[in-house]
Amino acid sequence: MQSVEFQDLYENAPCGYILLRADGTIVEANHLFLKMAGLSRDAALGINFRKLLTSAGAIYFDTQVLPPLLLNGVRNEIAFDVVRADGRRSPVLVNVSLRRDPAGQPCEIRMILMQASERRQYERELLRSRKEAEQMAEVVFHSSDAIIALRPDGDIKSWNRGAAEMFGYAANEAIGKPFFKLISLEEEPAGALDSLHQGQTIHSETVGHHKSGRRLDISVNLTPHLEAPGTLVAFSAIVRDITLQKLAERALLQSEKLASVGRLASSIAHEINNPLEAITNLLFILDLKAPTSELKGLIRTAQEELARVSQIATHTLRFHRQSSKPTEVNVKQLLESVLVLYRPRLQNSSIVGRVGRCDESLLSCRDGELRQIILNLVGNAVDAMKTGGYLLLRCREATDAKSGGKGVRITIADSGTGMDQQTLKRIFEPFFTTKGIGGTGLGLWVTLDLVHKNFGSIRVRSSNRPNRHGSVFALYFPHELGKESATDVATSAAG
Amino acid sequence: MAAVQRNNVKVIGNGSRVLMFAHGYGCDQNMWRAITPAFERDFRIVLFDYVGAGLSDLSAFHRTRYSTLKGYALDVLEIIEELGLSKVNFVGHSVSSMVGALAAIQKPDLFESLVMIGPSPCYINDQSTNYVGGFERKDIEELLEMLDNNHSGWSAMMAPIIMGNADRPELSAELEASFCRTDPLQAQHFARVTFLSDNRADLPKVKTRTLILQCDQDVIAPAVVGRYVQACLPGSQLVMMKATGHCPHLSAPGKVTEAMQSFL
Repeated sequence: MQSVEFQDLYENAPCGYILLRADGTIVEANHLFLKMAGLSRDAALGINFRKLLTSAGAIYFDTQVLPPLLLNGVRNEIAFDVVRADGRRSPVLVNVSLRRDPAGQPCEIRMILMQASERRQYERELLRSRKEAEQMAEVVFHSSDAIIALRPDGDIKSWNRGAAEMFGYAANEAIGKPFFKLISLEEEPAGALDSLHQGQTIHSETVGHHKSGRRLDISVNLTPHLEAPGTLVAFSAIVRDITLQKLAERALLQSEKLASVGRLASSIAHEINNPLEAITNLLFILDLKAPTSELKGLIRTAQEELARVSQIATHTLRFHRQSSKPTEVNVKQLLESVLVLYRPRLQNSSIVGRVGRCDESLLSCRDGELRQIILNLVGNAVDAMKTGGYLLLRCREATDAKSGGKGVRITIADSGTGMDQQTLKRIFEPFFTTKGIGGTGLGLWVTLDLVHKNFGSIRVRSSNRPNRHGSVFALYFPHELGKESATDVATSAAG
Repeated sequence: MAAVQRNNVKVIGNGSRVLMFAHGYGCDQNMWRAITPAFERDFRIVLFDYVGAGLSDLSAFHRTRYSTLKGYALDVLEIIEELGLSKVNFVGHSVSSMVGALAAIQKPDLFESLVMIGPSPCYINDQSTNYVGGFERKDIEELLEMLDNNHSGWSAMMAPIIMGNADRPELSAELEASFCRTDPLQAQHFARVTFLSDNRADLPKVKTRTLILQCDQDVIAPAVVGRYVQACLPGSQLVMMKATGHCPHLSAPGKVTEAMQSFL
């Protein structure tokens, strides 16, 4: 066996090796250390190790290295820069251990220093990319769009702030749960996953489900992330809430329709007005010349009805620009006057119509418009009871479930044929009618517009089952105008 | 006992007088191990970790609250109030000297004396007032970068040992090795607060009796800074110790104990 030369082993070790007194003075240093520090042996011995560090390094030595060393006896893998005599810096990785004298006092610090230039460069690179990744993650996290990372099976892996706000679930509620429960895709989730597994992206404008049950209009982009050999390892979902955009689109469409229908109605009303005036004048003359009181009575009824026609024509002429001031309307009296107006038709169709229990409510609204709403709904009810039935009008003070505000609820219930689900869905669309050639398809559409103009809401329940058929239209108007933003329509059907 | 839990407060000793130890930058309450035995007979000793250090509750870390030393001083006062202490003798190492000073300025009635070990009200030289703190701003920035470079190996290894398993005895050996190791992000933050703060204007407001322990060879808080602190604190005592380094209570505990005993 070859004998080992310990002196050489120490001097020419592939690392710097030094011995310090407890105060940091260098008392021994090997060859490689002297090379690292660029010092002669004489220059190195006797100086304090801190002097070979940068100012920052010295602080680090005293605050981050010495305390744990003195407490634990060892401290490993410290990154330092040794400042060479020529001012250049040698990055090193340092391990230190402490030796205590028999009395337990710290007496010696042993330190090895390994060249770490490349490693330090690599670590800097790592650190830089980690910072970049952290910034990127911050950007994603704070985005107002939902940016979600998903596992190949569709379970949620990450959940940013935008997602939490959009869907109402906190990150800990969402992570690990199946994402496809939150949105309705056209195809089955399994089909969507298949496409993703094949590397296809999916874009869809669809409906999402908020924690509260609220529907969200959303646009979804699903992008797969494949790794060789074509394995889906994750995919991302970027979801954007387009509810407002959809609302705006609908409102735009609505107002365009309204404007064109308004123009149409105005021009028709204008055409009707001229012959109306002629007939009014003719009836006036006829009244003067009528020989019997019976004839006079008939003429007067005709005049009254004609006055209504004229009022409606005038109203239609102005309906998209007229806005009279709201007045206090006694709802009960209004309901009664509508029934009086319809009495002849009710009798013809053997319909029993009555105003039921009513609160003596005064509602601040546009009288003419409320009258038109009720007239339209009662007219529809009468049309639905060709072979007779019951018509019940009621009004009462009510509280709006959503806003908690006070208002008046008016219900118009009939035992007519009722409507099926398909019909119910469409009754408020313009030009949709079930009355064949006789219907314009505008009645309920105009009614809804008038309800909204008076800050009201309308709900419909209807059934066309043989033994329980009929419809109930429930109107709600707030007492304080403008406080409500209720623009919703609710329809429900029972089979 | 919100503050007691938050700051991992430990109370030992049987005496009637109160001695509260506050660790400095780079360590935790373990740094007092060599000092406390000498005082256990005569004092009730209160030890704690600042939020972010040792076994403190990391979730209580609030960047804004702890963006200045006042936030840390507030914690000290909250601990004192929760424990119902009065006439506190407060021993602060390094940056904690200033934390103690700020606490004593705010509630002078609660404190009997302050002991400052290696204090510095401002580490950065200020040419406009000819103040020598020992460092330039770029040195401190380099230190922060250095803390970054020493990140590696921390988060994966140390964090679970320190944060989750303190009550598991089989891990005590590892815990032992983790004394005075701090989460690098916290070390970064505390380094910023410590080395970039300037509390020189606060010093003259201190009315509490103060002992300053200064090592004659201290790179971090040079002797000239210790003398500056003494000049700003009327009626304070300065003990210049023949010792090297910034942690005499670790490297020369005997000298520190002796000086403290004669002062207290």
